[in-house]
Amino acid sequence: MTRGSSEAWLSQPLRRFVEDTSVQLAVVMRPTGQVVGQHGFTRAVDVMSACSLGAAIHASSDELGRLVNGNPFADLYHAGQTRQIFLGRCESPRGRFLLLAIFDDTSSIGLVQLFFDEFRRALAAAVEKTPPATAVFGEDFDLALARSLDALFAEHPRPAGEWNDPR
Amino acid sequence: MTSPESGALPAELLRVSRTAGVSLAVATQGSDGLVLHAEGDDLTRAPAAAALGAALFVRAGAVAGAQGHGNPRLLRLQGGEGQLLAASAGDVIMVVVAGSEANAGRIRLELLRAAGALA
Repeated sequence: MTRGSSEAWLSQPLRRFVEDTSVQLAVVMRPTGQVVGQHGFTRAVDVMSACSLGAAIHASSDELGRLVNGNPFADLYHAGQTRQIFLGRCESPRGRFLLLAIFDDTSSIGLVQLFFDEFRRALAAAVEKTPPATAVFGEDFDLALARSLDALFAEHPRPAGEWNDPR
Repeated sequence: MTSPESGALPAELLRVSRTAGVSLAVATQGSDGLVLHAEGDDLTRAPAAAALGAALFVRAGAVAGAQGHGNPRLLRLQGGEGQLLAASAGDVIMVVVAGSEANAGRIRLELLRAAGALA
């Protein structure tokens, strides 16, 4: 039995990944930190914290990879004393998703990596089958937000086009 | 792929993989399930064999420990179309995939000999 909540198209691939790997916590997010689905978390604030931190790690390692390697670094694995984290990226026709998995010694990085490849394929297939959701905000939301932020933080105006990055 | 633990690992795995009926012999470091070294006909299956074999061995070890049998030396799983054997040598877990026609006793001897040489 799993406990979690996800957008409908994601629930099956995420449940399968969790069952195959026995990870304790898993959350799928956009690179912006927007939550798409989760398993194992009991408090919304923990999900949001995990997504914020996961997105920040991804952004940092992406840029660090570009800096030292010429390309963004790939998936990330970090082992602690009792728990380990894996942060992997999934490309899809609707852009990039991130999976953050947290596990202890009942699973292993070998298992997580093995089934993450399957999850990545299942997610891309599920995204393709799902009709795009209606945008909550208008297409120019980013631009409007940027203008508002510039107005609020006028001492450091943003360069033109900075918010138009398609990533 | 080489073992940080022992330069003998590739040679031992190669010898095990040459046992009749064996299609893959792979070693992982402890329970992490990552491939340290692999020998065999189809190395694309090595990550799956390492991850799943190590997980199975570790869980079987927990069962054996709970029953008071100590750490397992060898595990054999007979499937409908093949068999899997696993043994530990110190921190290294060796996993062997073989066809159902392979001589399990012979593989068992080779695996335990390799484990003894590496321990």
